[in-house]
Amino acid sequence: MNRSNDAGVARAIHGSPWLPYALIGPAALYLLLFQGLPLLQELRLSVSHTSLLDAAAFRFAGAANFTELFNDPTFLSSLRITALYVASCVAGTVGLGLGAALLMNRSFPGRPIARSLLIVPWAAPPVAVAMIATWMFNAQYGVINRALGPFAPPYGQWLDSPSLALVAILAVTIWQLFPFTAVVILAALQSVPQDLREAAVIDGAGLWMRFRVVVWPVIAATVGLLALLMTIWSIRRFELIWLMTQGGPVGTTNTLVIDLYRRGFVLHELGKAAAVGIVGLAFSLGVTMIYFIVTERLAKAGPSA
Amino acid sequence: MINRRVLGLGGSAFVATLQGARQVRAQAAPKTITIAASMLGEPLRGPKLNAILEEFNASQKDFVVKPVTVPFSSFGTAMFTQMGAGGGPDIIAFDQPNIYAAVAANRLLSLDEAVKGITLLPGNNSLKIKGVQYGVALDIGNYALIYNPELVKKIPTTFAELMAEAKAQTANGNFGYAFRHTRAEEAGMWYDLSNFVYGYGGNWSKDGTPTINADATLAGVRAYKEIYDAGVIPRGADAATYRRMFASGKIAMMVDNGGVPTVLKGTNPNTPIGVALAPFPTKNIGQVMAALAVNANSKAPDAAMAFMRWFLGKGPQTTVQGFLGGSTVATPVPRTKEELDASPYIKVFDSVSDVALPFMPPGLEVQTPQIRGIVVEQVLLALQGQVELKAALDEAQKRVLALPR
Repeated sequence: MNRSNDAGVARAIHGSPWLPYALIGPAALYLLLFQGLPLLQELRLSVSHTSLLDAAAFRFAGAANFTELFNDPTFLSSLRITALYVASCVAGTVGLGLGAALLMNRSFPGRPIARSLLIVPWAAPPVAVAMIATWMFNAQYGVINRALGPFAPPYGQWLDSPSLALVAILAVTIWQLFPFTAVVILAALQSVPQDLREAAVIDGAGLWMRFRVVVWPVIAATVGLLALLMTIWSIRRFELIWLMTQGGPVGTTNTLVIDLYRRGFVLHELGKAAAVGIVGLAFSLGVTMIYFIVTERLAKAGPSA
Repeated sequence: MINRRVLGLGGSAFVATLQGARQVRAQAAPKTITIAASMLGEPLRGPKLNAILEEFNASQKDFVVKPVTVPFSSFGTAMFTQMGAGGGPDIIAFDQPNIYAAVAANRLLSLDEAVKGITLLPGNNSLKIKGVQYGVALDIGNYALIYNPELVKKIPTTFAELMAEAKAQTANGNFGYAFRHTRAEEAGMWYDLSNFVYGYGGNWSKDGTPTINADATLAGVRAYKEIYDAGVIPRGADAATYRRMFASGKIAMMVDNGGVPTVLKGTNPNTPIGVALAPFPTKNIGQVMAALAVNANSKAPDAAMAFMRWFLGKGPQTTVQGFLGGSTVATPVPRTKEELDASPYIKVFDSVSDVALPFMPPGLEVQTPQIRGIVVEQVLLALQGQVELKAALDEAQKRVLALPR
């Protein structure tokens, strides 16, 4: 009797046209409140001359902020640096993560310990990482220059050298993020059918061929998703860069978010800062759209593609 | 059975008693205000400034002041964000340029009534905007040459001597000189750069017209670059690091402000410290100032003004100057014999009070952050050899002229 009642309720729920809305409702409400409304406010600010000291006052500026930004060499340089930083981060973290995951997927003594240690950089707080890295790159007392000895850069400068500052920041970023990609790819590797691997070995396929034909098709979607996540996270990364260089020297590590912060909180130009934020958002949306278009095409083309 | 009328009367009496008690409590409760200063969080001076606040609280029955500690690095941003949203502490110890920015946005109250009848040191005039006093100094630090007398035997009196001594002192991990030279320390680099410019008789502007590429300004910046190029500074070291190096005997000289000897002694009480006039062609030098101002958003401006007036009294001013070391306060407080015996170098910092200049371009004070950013960026380009110094300053001049007024 009870069982038939339960079944009836379940049927009623599953059959209800409101079910999808009820399920998506809380998440949609959350996004609307904490993402949608601030985004609208940012859009509104981006077309205004608003000062940090008088955030409530609104003076309509039209597209002036955007026009000024795209005529400002500092902003254009920050766009280039952001693109370089993001591309390097994605290539570094996904490449290194893939290599580490393939290594960790093999059987060797002490593998559980190695897998546990791998996650340590990802678990470390970014602020602590930035502070420690700054000391490691210190010109006078840093361990990196001590280790490099005569091969250290002139005056031991890393974070103050226009040619090395971004390299140093990228090294720290990739070191901190690659464990995450490694762990996710390692999880995906567990889905690679063992019988297919064995069949490939019996057929005489080499290491590269086995990876390309057996492993890659299984993990490709995961790697693609990781690349997307790394892209968006890299566009947004602030604390590490700000703490290590504040965008210097001479703007060589001045990414979009650093530029946004400087305009908003150092120069008090909230309107322009919001405009930088909108450009960053457009950049992220563009990358996301490209990802979905490519994914869809690959899915339509089938597994052989 | 209880009579309804008796019950009603009893209830009314109870309510009246409660209301009365609330009124008495409201009358008796002192007004609470807050004061924010990065100094409050400093290990050496913070507890002493907190003790002053306690002294005020003990002396008052109508007002209570509570400290708000915000680190120096994020102080201006934190205050402006709160003030822009209609809040913030009642009293704020701002850097000078922030006072101008806050006044331009109508975020500060006039202190004219609070300072009436009080003699202020001339340095406070830089906090008077369009005839209105918007701030009073908490800490005025003049700059001078701080050197290690155990290393430097002949005190340099010219730039050539400074350079020669700095070169002689640079060896085996020791450096002859130190200053800020990175974007990460933009404000500090601006101070250090400005000292050279002022010392060479230049300035960043005159009566609101930028003079960034003027001859005297260029000469000062060129001297700064000469020291950088000579390899006599610990490149990449921030102020906290090179001051620690100074306290460990690894830096011979630096031009720094009157509060720094106290910091050095705090790091190492045995740090040998000598102070002389900066060896530049003129006696002109910079002056850094933290100034107290009253937030226009304050809900208790009367309490804030009462605190300001009390703070400018002889007792608190003498106490504060006593723990500031080589700095001075808002009002003239004579140095005591004990003070001068313990720190004879104080006299040197005091001796430049009449020629010390604030780190703000005259007539363009509100735009200090923008001008600072442009100048520092261009000078860094020149330091890195990416552009010739004169061309860098020409570019900075052009960009500053293009700033919206």
